[in-house]
Amino acid sequence: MLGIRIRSGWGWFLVLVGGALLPFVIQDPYLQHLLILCCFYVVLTLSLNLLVGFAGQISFAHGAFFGIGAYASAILATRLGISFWLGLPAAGIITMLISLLIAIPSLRLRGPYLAIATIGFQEIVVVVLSQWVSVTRGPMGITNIPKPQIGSFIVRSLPHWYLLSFVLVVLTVMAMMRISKSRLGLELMALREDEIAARAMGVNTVKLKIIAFASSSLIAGLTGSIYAHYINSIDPYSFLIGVSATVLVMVLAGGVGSIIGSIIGALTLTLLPEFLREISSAGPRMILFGATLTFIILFLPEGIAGVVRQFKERRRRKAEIWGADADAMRRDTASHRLGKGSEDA
Amino acid sequence: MQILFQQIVNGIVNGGIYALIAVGLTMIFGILNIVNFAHGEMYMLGGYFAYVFAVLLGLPFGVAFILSILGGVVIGLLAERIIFRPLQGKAHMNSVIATMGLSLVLANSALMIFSPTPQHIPAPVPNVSLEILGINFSLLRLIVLCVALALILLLTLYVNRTWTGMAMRAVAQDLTVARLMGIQITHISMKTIGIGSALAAAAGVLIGPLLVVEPHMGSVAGLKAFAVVIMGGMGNIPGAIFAALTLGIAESLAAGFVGTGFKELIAFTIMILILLFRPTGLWGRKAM
Repeated sequence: MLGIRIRSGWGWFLVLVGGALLPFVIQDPYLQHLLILCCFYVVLTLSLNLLVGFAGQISFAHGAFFGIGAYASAILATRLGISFWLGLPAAGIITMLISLLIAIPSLRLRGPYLAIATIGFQEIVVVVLSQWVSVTRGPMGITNIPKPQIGSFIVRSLPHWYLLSFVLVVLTVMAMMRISKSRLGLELMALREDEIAARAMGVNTVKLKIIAFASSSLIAGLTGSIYAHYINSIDPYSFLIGVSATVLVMVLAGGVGSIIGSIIGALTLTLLPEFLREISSAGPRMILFGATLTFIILFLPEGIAGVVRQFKERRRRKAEIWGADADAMRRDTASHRLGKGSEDA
Repeated sequence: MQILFQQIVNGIVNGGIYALIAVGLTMIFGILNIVNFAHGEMYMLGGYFAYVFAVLLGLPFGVAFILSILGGVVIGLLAERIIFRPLQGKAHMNSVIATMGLSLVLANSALMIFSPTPQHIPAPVPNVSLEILGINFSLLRLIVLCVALALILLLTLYVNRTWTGMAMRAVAQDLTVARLMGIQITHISMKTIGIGSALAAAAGVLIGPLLVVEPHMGSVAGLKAFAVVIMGGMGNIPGAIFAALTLGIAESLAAGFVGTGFKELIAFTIMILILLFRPTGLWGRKAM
């Protein structure tokens, strides 16, 4: 949607290999840790974008689903000794089943009512995680979550963790691209634009909403599971509404319904606070995110993707007005060389 | 039996505080059609203003009370000018997200300025309690309840009896027609948000001596106020008052007989159930 469209298989191959090799080029462990966090946020943003961007259903509960996945996997591993490779899909499925609790209300609620219901759900999850001491160990959290093992090989070093999360990113991006081009994606967008019109066109909006909620939280649950095993110890306060709001900022900053926008939004907002040292602690970071949310709604309702689109539109119009054929031709050849589509905005 | 009544009495006091916050929230929704997720932060700011005036500057409590309310009004009006006015007439989702952002900014600013340590505001009255029929009324709680009820009564009179109140109700019914009748929408918007913020700030000052003031109290209170507003029916002022008292009593009973931890679940569970089964609130249709 940003206009960056990689046409050839070779382009994809380069992006994949480049992405996978990053932790071997960047040796600093802190930067490697950041890369892993970036992977988590990219996946969370993409999965929330499926719900908010494609289906147009707002949710302030994504942090809760992330937390449910993390807790499910951690409890299975520490209490029952179930291996990560079984715990991962189990956590995803458990999260998905719990998400139906909120998906079914969403069938009847719209706009602000849905937003409020998801906030209520988010709070309920945090209360349950911190009060149901016999299962979740309450505010103490769960510690010593074992590392995943393949045979005798233990995923321990940062580059290996990065590769594991990078695989999740690649799978999610592929799934999202397939969905956006499929009939399902079109139906979801029809639902976002106008629910009544979509229903009139024969779209089964009930089924769609459930699919959107279930698949979005399935991915959040999987991410939570990997996060729990990576970070080693979790507590209820890692999954507060601030996490939900952060991921929502990333979706909106990138532009609703834009895959590449989500990736850029997540990367920018994960890395930016880390590099501006003054705002790297939690308080100032949340101030920055809050201000960004408000700013985006007031001034850039279409996010980064919308700004780029407008910019391109303006340039094209200028070229038309001045009749600058030579300029346009030069631009076209240049963009072909870069492998970019020239007219798809 | 005595414990039961004691819990009910405590619940009514908490309910009065919820009512102060929720009334403003339901007004802002009913009149301006804006979903204000930053409303709880006005309550938090009220508490911190009181802390600054009464504790740091050492002013008498009454003066601090009035100054804090004015502080809440100023912040509310600033927010109105910068955020709410441009959002007038836009989709609800915009106001949900923009005010969520404002709420994060305010809560975390308070966190940075005042640190996460909870602050206590010393009570303006001696710590005595009156015993009536075996139930203890602490003097402080009694005063808090009376002030809260008096403010709510003032607001109800204002909305129902004054010219501006009538204009507010007109805007709530139909914005376009109200504008045609010569009502200045900007003035109504400023007054509604000013009054709503003032009441929330007053609630923050009143809770200071009862509990503590801390940076994150706003988000929980704001969410509970939403639960109350939904129970009472969005935009329904009397509905919100009754719902607030009901929630206060229900929470207090749950804390007394089930356990304090899970009392937080009540508000949100009731809210989701009502959204599902009675979206117009416990008392039926929207009446503003």
